[in-house]
Parts: sequence; C-alpha cells; structure tokens
Amino acid sequence: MLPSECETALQQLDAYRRGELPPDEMQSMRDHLEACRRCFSYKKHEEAFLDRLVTAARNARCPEELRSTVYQMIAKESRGN
Amino acid sequence: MTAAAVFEDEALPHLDTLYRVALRLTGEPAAAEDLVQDTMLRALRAWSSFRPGSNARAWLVTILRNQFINGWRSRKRAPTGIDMDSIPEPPDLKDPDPEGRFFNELVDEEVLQAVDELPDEFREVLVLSDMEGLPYADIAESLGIPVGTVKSRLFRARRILQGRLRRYAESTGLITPPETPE
Repeated sequence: MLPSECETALQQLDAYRRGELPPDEMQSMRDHLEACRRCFSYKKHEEAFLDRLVTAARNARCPEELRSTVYQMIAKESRGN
Repeated sequence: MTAAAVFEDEALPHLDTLYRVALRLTGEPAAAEDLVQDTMLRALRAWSSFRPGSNARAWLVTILRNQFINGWRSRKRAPTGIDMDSIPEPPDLKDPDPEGRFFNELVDEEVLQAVDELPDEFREVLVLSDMEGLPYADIAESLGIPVGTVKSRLFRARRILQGRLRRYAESTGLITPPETPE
C-alpha cells in the first residue's frame, strides 16, 4: 500500500509532465519528487518508457510511393471538380 | 488559392502521422497504405466541413479511425485477449532496473509488436497520445469517449505494455528477474 502522497503523485504525474498542474501543485510535486526516491524512480521509468514509444513511432514514415499517390489523387479530384 | 491547394497545405503535413496510426490500427503496411488513401480521399471530399483554425491532424485522425471501424476492423486479425486482473503494478525499488533503462535496449520491432498486440481500445489511445502526441481532448473527440475514459484507458494500456516489455526483457536476459524466495 502506497502512502497517500505517493498515490497523489502517481495520479498527477502525467499532468505534471505536461506542465498542466496549477503552480502550487507543480511545486508540491517537485518537492515530493526530490524527497521520495520511489516516486522519482517511477518518474524516470515512465519517461524512459514514453521516450522509447516516441522513438519507435517516429522511425516509421509514410512511404514515398504513398505520398505520390495521394498527391496524384488530389490533382485528379481537383481536375474533376 | 484553390480548395485543393489549401487541402494540400493543411492535410499533407500529417501524412506521416496518418500512416503510423493506420499501421498500428491495421497491423500491416499494405492495409495501412490503403486506409490512408481512403482517408485522404474522404477528407478531400469533406474538406468544406473542416473548420479553419481547428486541429487538422485530429480531424484527419477522426476520419481515418471512422474509415477503419467502418471498413477495416472486421478484416483485422482477432484481438489479443487481456486478463484485466493481471495488469502489473508499477515497479518499485526492489525490482531490477526500476528506472526502466532496459526500454532503450529494445529494438523498434519488439516495441511495436507489443503495441500491436494490445486490444484495440487500449492501442488506439496509446498510439494517439503517447506515440503521436495528440491532446486528451482531441483524442476524446476523435474516439467519441469522455476525457476521463481516455485517461483510464491510457493508464491501463501503459501498464499492460510495460508489463509485457518487462517480461520480454527478462526472457531475453536484458534484465534479471527478481529472485523468488525458496
């Protein structure tokens, strides 16, 4: 069972990472993360996970052939109108 | 400027996002390409209904998802079942690698395969939020669900995926599983 301040920190971590908490709650979160090794470690874990997802996603790009097909489709549609 | 030219300016910068989302929804490149083409054609024909100044990426993703549900989902492989009771807890300091350094040791294919194996409702929110960076409100609108549901699905999706990646990392020796007491 986690202490209640850790429960709160875990629930608010996403909003904290996005900078969406009110200023006083941002500060409380910073204070808690400095004092609580478990929550700090958890934050690092979430960041490592999310960074890895973004990298895996960004390495896939729309194939050039598909891009050309879409351009041609737009040209054809606009000629038809 | 013609409507087609405006469409090109607004919509084409999002082709990478659309292709990636389509790839994760359909699970195969050829189907993803077809889905993106269908989406762009439908979007072009519906362009007059786009509100200038609103989020074109979210608008396009909504069309893509609707196309997927209406014509594609039934063709997709059967979803992988999830035992909701088996959603793991977040790691604590006693776990090996509690800061998740092993995530960086995994290759893209391993990460993406685990994403593809998530059930549709979890995969959708994870892809749109954590891989493509769409705001919760836009995801909620695209999927037709409340923001609170987006957040709860996202939480579960992350836990399931983290658990699977951690088990994979243990099975391949990237991290040592915790010792079980005799």
